Amino acid sequence: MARRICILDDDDAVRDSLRALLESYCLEVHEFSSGRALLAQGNLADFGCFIVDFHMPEMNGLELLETLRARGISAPAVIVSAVALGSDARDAAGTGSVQVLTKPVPEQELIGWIRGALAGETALT
Amino acid sequence: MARKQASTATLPDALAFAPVMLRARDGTILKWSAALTLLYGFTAGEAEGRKAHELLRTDYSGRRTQLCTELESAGEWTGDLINRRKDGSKLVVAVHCVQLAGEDLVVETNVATGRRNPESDYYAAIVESSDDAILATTLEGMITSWNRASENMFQYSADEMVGFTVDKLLPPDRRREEEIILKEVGLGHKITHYETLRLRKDGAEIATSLTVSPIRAADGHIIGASRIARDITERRNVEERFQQMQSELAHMGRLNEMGQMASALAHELNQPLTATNNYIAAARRNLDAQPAHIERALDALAKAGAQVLRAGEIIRRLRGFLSKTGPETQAELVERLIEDTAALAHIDAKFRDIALKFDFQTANVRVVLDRVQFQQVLLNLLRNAFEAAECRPNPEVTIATRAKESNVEISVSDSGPGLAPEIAENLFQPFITTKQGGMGVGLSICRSIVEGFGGKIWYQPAPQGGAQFLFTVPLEMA
Repeated sequence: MARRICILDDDDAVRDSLRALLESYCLEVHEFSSGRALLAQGNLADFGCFIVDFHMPEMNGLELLETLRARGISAPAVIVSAVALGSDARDAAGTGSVQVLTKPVPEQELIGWIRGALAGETALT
Repeated sequence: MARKQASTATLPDALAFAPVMLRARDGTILKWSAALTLLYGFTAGEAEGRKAHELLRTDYSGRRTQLCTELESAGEWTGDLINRRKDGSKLVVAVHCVQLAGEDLVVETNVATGRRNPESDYYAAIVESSDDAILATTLEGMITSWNRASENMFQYSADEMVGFTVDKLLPPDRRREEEIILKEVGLGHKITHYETLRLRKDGAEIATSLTVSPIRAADGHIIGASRIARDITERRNVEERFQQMQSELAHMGRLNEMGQMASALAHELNQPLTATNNYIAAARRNLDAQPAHIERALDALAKAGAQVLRAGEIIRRLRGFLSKTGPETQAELVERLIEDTAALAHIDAKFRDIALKFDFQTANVRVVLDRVQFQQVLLNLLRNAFEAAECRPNPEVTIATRAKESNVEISVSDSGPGLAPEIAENLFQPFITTKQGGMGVGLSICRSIVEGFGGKIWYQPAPQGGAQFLFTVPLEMA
């Protein structure tokens, strides 16, 4: 089971702080500042889960997930957004059961989701 | 000369009961018959020595010069004139003048016709009932008519004004105006809606809009000036009130702007809050670990502190933008101003997934202005650009600067659909809007602000399609 966690956020501080937090849980974290940077690297299948910011220039979180799904990457993903996203936005993803969390995400909620994701409980079919 | 002849000129007793006067060519009355006293109410003592046309306030209906010329050449003139009695009432008289050959002496008979002058009565009625002060003067500036509205506006009665010049109405520093007006009118020019000040009888100043036109005789030559004076004090007050409202609106516009930015700012504030939350949690866990990772915890706490400051900075920018302070001008670097403003707008752009680009063709140029007002103009243009760009794929907005003589020209271009020509025409008028829920004051406020800076604002289609708004601001004098 891949245990590497992918963090995608264009805000340096949000990305760095999330890495610091997850590393304190002894999790292996890889971070990217844009969808393009993430897609450019070859080992997408190595990630155990994706934590993706919604608002990003060029490609937003939903568009990125659509691209990942289209490439056959089915690892669990959570979209974090500064504003609560409507059901329209979720449907637009066309990905069925994408988890959406609203920033700032409480620590226990996030860690709980990651543990579940890495254990395969919330993995997409 | 005239005086000498006056002493020798005599009126035969037989003519005492004929309405006849002997006068000099310039009108100076030498002999005044008893019949004329009955006709006009002036005694010989009152009349002799005065000029007849002044005493009787003769209305020549524009024929004075013609009359004089004809009298000179033919030695005789007959026609109807309108004179006034001592009590001010008008009288149409049949006038017959004979000039005695080789002498400065005219024998003039005045016979009351009992006729009214229907045409002049008709116009007189219109003039009399007008709400505007309407007066007529000769080319020398002597008032020949003064309507009721003039009485109301200036508080002088017709009796106090007719036969005199308009000097009483002129504030001391505007006396030259009258000379210029008469000169212009004499040349056949019309003066339209000239805004000036006039004095009322009680000394109060009245904001006045003056329209002065030449009065022409039937043969076309100019014989006087008709003047329409409108009291615009009230309009001035309305204008001042409007100015005040504009500045209120500018503040409201800013609040409106804030409302629209609030949701974007909520997002912006969430970033440092999220990061702070994460860093503090990481610090706590590192301290809690066995053994504790002190270094990592301290690092996370330091970073958390920086994120709190970042949040504070966002709030500070917001407050600076929101506070209603009067214009405070100071020298500012244009590029810095634009970058600071764009930092506010950047949030909005990101929120809408719009690429905000810069194309600075100037370096460190300085302008003197109120930065909040500048931000307001630029933010307004940027918000419009964002809304326009959003309707097309790959939305993009560019802020560019370039030096233009003694100005810096700042443009905001978007990749939207551009504006229809009929919309482009009235863009900067207040209360014209193409936006649902828009008040239509944004661009008109931008215009008053930019013009206040001494610059201009305009629209043109962007070179790559889309809309482009440009404004200029004068550079700081070296």
